[in-house]
Amino acid sequence: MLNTISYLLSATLRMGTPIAYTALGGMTSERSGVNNIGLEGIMTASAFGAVVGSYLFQNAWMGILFAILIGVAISAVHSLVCITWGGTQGVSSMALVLLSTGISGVGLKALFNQQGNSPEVPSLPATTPLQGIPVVGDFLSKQSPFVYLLLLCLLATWFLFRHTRLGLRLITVGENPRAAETAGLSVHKLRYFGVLYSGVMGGLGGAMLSIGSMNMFQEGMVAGRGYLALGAVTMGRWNTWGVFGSAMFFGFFSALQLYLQSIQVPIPTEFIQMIPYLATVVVLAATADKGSAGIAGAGKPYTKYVRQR
Amino acid sequence: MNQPIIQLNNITKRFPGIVANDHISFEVERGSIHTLAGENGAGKSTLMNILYGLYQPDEGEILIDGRPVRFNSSKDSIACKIGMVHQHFMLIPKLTVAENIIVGQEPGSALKVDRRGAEERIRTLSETYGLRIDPARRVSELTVTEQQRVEILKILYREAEILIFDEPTAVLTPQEIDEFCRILLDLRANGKTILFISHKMAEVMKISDRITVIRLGRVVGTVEKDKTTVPELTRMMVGRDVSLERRDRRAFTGQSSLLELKNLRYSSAGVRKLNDISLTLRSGEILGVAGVDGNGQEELVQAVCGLIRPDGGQVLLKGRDITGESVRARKEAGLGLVPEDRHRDGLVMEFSVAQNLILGLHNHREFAKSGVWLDFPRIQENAGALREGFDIRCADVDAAAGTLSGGNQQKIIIAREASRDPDVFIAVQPTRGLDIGAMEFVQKTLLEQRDRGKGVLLFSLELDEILSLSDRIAVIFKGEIVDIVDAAGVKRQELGLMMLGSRAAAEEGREAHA
Repeated sequence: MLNTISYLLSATLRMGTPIAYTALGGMTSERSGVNNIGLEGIMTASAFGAVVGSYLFQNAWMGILFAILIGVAISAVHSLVCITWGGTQGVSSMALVLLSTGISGVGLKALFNQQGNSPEVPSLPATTPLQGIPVVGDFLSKQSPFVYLLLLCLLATWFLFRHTRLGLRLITVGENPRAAETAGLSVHKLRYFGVLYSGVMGGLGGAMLSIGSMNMFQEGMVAGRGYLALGAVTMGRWNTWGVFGSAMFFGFFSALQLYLQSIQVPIPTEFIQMIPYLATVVVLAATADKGSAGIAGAGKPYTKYVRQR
Repeated sequence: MNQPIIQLNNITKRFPGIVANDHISFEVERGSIHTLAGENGAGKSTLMNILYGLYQPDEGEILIDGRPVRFNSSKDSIACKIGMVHQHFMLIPKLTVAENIIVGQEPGSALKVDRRGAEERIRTLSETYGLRIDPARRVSELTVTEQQRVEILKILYREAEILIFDEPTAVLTPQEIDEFCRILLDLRANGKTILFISHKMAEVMKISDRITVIRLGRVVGTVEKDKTTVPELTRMMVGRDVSLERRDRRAFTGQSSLLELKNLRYSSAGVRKLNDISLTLRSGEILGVAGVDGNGQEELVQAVCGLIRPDGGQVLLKGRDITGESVRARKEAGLGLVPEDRHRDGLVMEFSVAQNLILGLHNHREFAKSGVWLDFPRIQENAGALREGFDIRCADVDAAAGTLSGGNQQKIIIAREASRDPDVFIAVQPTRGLDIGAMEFVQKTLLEQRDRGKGVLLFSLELDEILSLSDRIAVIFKGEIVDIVDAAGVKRQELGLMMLGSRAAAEEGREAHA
């Protein structure tokens, strides 16, 4: 029994963490008024970037740095298209997803001369310094440092929106960019911040997949988690804790799926693998339209007063 | 004489196809209420947006306290102690009053906004200026007047000395306007300089010290309030004499009934909205429906147009029962509607003027070959003709409807509906928010419809409008028709009492006229 719980908990953390990172980033971007449906692409590219960094320096922490840089680079493209040039956010996002899939595939071939997956690289599967803690030390030390880093990011994001000047301004540009402009704020700069933040977080989410829970990159390893993260943003009603909880909710169903497979219940695997996605559909349908909590200004490009008419 | 606080010298601003401001020059004295009057589209808002740094002028200079300034964004103008309350409020409903006020100039450190300190300061400010508001409340819970107070506090918080108000009274009821005027006078008493944009003569005359009138982007003149009159100002604004007084009306000869409502009943969420309403609209008359807002007018319009299905009763158009028919079938059968909310129900703001002019007519053979392929040359031609005929002022018929002024947007709707040549014209608050010129045009169009033997059902909250246009007046109260009276003999006071549900007044009125 205790084993089962411990297994489920640790699998939930493992499966939920990448989604949670990305979802927190997505939430920040959306609250600033830019939808980033391209998170899937950011995760893919940075999962690959993490492996490259880790491989080149033979150090997994450098992998994380690489992943963040890649995430920022890709979201910078998205920002340029959507914010500076006022492009359609959905189209730009889709382009990012395709671009990232392409980059990682070509990159595998070019760097490692391999197809489908990369060689094994240094990874961060466990947090050994925590071993010394009595009772729970064993469990805690088996979790990836990514899990602990996530808790820091979670607090930082919460603090950002709850207390800081920047957070209040981000909310303002997201809800009513015109109001922000008339209050003397730069809509574009603030939105750049929101999108780049989602790049950092998506980068961490991608890195967790390749060098946190595994030690290599596989094509298709993101498997829709970027979209699940978007679902978590909506389900969590653009609230930091809600978004985190939703991501972990998805993580739990993924864990449950893994568990059911491991104890070999007499149901075809394909059906068991559907569980997290089915749960998503059910919950999204059930929580839809409970009050209009959406972000008023999200998804619309903003042209300054000056350029209007 | 003191140094003027603001001097505008030859400000010129051009937009593609239009000169919004053409060498505008005037001065504003410190501590005065200076009104900028002019019709919609005259360039008042553009000028104020320039003064607030949202637009940059193509030519000319602005002097504040005698020093030339150049604003690249509202940040610069805020630094010069200029604040602006926009016509459409710049508030975020989700945030609190305090958060809305402080954003951009938050007290405390970057890491920790001092919300409590902010609320304290806002409380002090609101007491100083008599703008009662609880800074901890969410803006979504506030009424329109309260939201306006938040906007004013927002600029006072930024220590503005010059306060610009862009048509602040457009969203207020008459009582609220009185209250608002008092606030402006209080602000002036506190030494603030106020630039007030309006085209409503009553309030302009009530509070201004000086008035600058602009028309078609140019200054017509600046006058002292004490040395001018309403007719003179109106003439300056419109460029000719305007009369919105009672008009001659032809006695209607009691011809065939065009629209007949029989015992209409409708309830929503257990509340009876329409209670046994019966009305007859004859050809060649304007039947005004007077009443305090929210007494069933909205539901009545919807029931006639087919947007709601009544629980009982009948709607007859030219003798035919259309109670069960669709909106489209009704319009095809000869119903025209000028809706109350032109943005929501009358136009697609992103569509061009030409497209808006054929909304609902897009599948008519006239504009669509075989009813399928849009005939663009014909659509353009139609737009050109209606633009001319209805004096729709736009740079181009391909311009988005949203870029036009309110009056011109309304003209698009009127032009479209009139071009269908309906037998029954339903006009709901057709002149709300319009300037005098556009108002006159709309009213003239309705009278023309009547004179051509059509029927007009006019809904308005403005008693003056009802009185000056209608042949007969139906008074609605709590979903019932209190009485229908002949407009020629009725007194304002009687109507006012009936609008509050007094049947006694109705009876009395009837006896008096019998």
